[in-house]
Amino acid sequence: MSCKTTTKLIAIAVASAFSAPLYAAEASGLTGEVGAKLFMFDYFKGVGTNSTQFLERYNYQKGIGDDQRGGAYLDLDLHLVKNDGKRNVFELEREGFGAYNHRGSFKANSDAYGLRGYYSDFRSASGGVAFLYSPGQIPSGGVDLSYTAGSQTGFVTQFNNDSPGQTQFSVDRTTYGMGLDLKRGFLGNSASAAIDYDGYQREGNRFATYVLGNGDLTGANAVKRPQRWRGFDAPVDERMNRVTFKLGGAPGGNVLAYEGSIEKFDNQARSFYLGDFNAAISAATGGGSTVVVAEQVRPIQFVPDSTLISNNIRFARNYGRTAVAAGYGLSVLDQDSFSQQQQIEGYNKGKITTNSAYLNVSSNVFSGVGIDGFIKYNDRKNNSAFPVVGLIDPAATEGLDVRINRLKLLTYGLSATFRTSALKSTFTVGWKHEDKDRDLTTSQWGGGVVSIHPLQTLYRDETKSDELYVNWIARPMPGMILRVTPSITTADTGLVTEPEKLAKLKTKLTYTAKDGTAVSGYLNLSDSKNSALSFRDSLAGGAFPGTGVRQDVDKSQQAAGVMLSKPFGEWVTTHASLSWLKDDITALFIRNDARRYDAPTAAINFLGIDKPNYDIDTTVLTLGGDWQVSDPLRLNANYTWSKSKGSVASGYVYNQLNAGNAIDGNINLTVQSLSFGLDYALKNRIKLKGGYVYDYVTDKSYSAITGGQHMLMVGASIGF
Amino acid sequence: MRRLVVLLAVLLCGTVTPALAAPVAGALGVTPIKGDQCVECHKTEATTSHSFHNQCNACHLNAGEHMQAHEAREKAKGPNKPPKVVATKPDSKECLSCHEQDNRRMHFAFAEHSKAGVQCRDCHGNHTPKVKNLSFAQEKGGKTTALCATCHQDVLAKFNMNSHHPVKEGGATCTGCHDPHASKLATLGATTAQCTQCHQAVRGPHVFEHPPVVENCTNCHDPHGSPNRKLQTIASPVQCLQCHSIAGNRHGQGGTVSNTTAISGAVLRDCTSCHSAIHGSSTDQHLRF
Repeated sequence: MSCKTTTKLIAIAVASAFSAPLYAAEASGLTGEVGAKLFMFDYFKGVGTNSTQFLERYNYQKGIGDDQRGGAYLDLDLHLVKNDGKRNVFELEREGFGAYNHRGSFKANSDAYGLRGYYSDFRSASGGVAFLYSPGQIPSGGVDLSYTAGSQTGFVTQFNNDSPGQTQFSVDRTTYGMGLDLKRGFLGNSASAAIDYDGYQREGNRFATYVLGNGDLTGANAVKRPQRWRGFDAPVDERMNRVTFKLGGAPGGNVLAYEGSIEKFDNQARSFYLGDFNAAISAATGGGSTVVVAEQVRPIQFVPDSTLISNNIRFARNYGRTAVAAGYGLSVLDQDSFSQQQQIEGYNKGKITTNSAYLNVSSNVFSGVGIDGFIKYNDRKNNSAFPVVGLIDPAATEGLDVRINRLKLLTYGLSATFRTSALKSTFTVGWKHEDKDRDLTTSQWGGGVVSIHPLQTLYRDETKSDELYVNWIARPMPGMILRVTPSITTADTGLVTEPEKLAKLKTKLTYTAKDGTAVSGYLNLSDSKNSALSFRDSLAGGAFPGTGVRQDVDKSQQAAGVMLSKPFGEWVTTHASLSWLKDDITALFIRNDARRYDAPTAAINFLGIDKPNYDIDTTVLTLGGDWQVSDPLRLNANYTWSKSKGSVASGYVYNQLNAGNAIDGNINLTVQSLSFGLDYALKNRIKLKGGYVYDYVTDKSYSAITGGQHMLMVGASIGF
Repeated sequence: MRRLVVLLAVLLCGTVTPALAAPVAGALGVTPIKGDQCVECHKTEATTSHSFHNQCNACHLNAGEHMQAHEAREKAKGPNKPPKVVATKPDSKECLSCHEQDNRRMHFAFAEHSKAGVQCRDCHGNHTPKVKNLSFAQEKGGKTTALCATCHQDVLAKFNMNSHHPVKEGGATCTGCHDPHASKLATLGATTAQCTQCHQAVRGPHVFEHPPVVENCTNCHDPHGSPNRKLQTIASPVQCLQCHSIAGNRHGQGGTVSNTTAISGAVLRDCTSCHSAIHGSSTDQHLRF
């Protein structure tokens, strides 16, 4: 019996045991519904007969037998409620949407205690478009077509598949948990406690790719180069189990809470090493190339076991009209398993320690004005073994890029909230400051040692930012709420993805009429720039002549939408919404004529090649309605249409992406989903249920993905 | 530093400010109106959650006036009946008078929802769930997701993009990542903890870390949805080119040491096909394996 099955059975058994005496005590308080459902599905078009998982889409279905493209399966819904005349003392629920998508929960409550549990099972496809298209995977390996012309001599090649024939890639995630609450009724009015157990299991496979260095292989360049790019069927088998203990109380009006947890993550999948594919490389080259012996113990995407221990203490109290919240937390992440290479090199400690704390105050001591302030601190310290000769060593060639020894974040701010009768408004004016302090180690200069100088990265020790914002909430008429939140941020940045200048506007207007008609609209704008960081050129030996290239990132994001929900009489409700989202981002494409590691022996010059523009528009339309035709009959329908279109780059990068393989420069994808639902109540508490779904994906870039599915569900349930 | 001292002083003053008003008390100080008196009319509510407290005016503060007005209208003769008094729904402070001592709700006064004027009743029905019926299209996502979607339409739109967390499909829920009662300003733990509570495989500890991964997952990913693979905020290669220059003698052709040979599409197409240990590596500073 699998662990997954055992867990589900235990959960059901506990629920049943708990509920039995309740049924006995008052059987008349038990109500519920049990329903059986039959699903039928049919995939059409799409990728090959064996690859029906729609790649990165999330509707993994499988019928009886091996047919992946069509089939039928049965499922069961269950909902039980035990009410003792005052409230629900027990609930048990199970919802199923097929063998790969179902969930359940139970809870029991009394004045003194509560018991709850849950599980869910969900399968996702894990093979994406990179599996089908260059350069992620080409079954036959060899030289990419885009490298066979002119001066492009095949330095980069197609991926060799070390698991030929494997086309199904998916991961099942099963989550589960139970909790016991000891309420104030059990421990006295001033204390409560709870113990929770949560966990998950991920099982399945994925296609893992990697690239060997030229020096990792033996043999002549012409023989070994085509063997460097490799991929294989990598198993996924992970388990996480976490126990959390909570204690709370309010002695003397001080609300205190403690939460401590131990979380154990186990990776039970086989670890792969470069040496595992030695035989395949040797066979492919007729013995002309193998992995260098010293490199054979290097792991491929090693995932260590780890334990996270967290302890948090929180405090809250109201002093009249002033509320205070404070907390302190310490978490320690420890690596529990080590790769062969780590053991050989003496790397025996992987440890991250995080201290965090906050203090928040909110006061309404002045009539009509609220004052808020906060300080928040987070300190991440890397206590792992360092340096370790042969593995991570700033004094060795390519021994270190950059190491984050410590990352401290201090954020604080103040805000004032004013309430005024004008348009029944609330104005909040606020300021937030953030200090990020990084303790970094990069490869060191001196003695001819190859290294990377911090000025030849776009990563710095410090970030300081200040944000000013206004939040206006108005209720100009009954049923109407307007929210407007503009903000401006300026910063000295240490990371490109942080904005140097940022202007944001977030607005939303909602109106609900007395007849239930609801209209809303939103407009979100964000414009950020960062041109604060630059790469510096260097002469051989390391002197900086003062020139370089300044990165210039410009991000503009816009989103707008409207929604209408309209009832027609008592029996019909309809809704429609339209959203538009646009991302317009440019950043310099910069290249350098030698590796940064080569600085002591070679001059390094940075050159801005072009400024590619990522520009994608997405439009989402939804329409739907619900019609209570008669007391027993209810119908509903929904339609969603989503289209994303644009270029992922422009200019030089766009032209290169489209050279020889005109698929990667554009996004042109439409997703449509149409569904109908029917509920019909027969006499004697018997209900009939039906549903139909039509999904269709049109991908004009990755055309092989274009395809769809029909799904029909019929079911019946008995209520009692 | 001076700003910090001033801020600390302000916060400290806040903590020692004497009580200038009565503490939030909900209605627990008033004479309780027993549920028995209300159930005569409100039979449906009598067996639902909260009714076991048997004290209706703890939440419906004006239940007494509502009942008196009803009785007066019953007794009144002729057309001039006294006006109706609708029983109020509780504000958050009434709910918090009991629930503030729950670990997850103790900081609700500071929560983003509270600051935005959202009341408990906006999400929670006092006696029955807010969302009662789901359409066939919503069933996999469940009632919690449907409830959040009623307000967060901009987020809902992203869940309809090509790459998204499987919320509407039932593989995840809004509350699996977001605690609607919590405040971002009052959270503890690692800055990436919100993501790594489910994605432990990427948290390491890694020998070679990738700085934006350590700093914040949202540097590269939009957890709600994206037109790009793997929830990336920007498609490769522009995502990577923001921070990285490309060494031509490793990514150009033929290993030349120059800035003149073209860097081809196969290099630019998908950086993480080669740098596949993008979240951190146990062995390689180039994050290739």
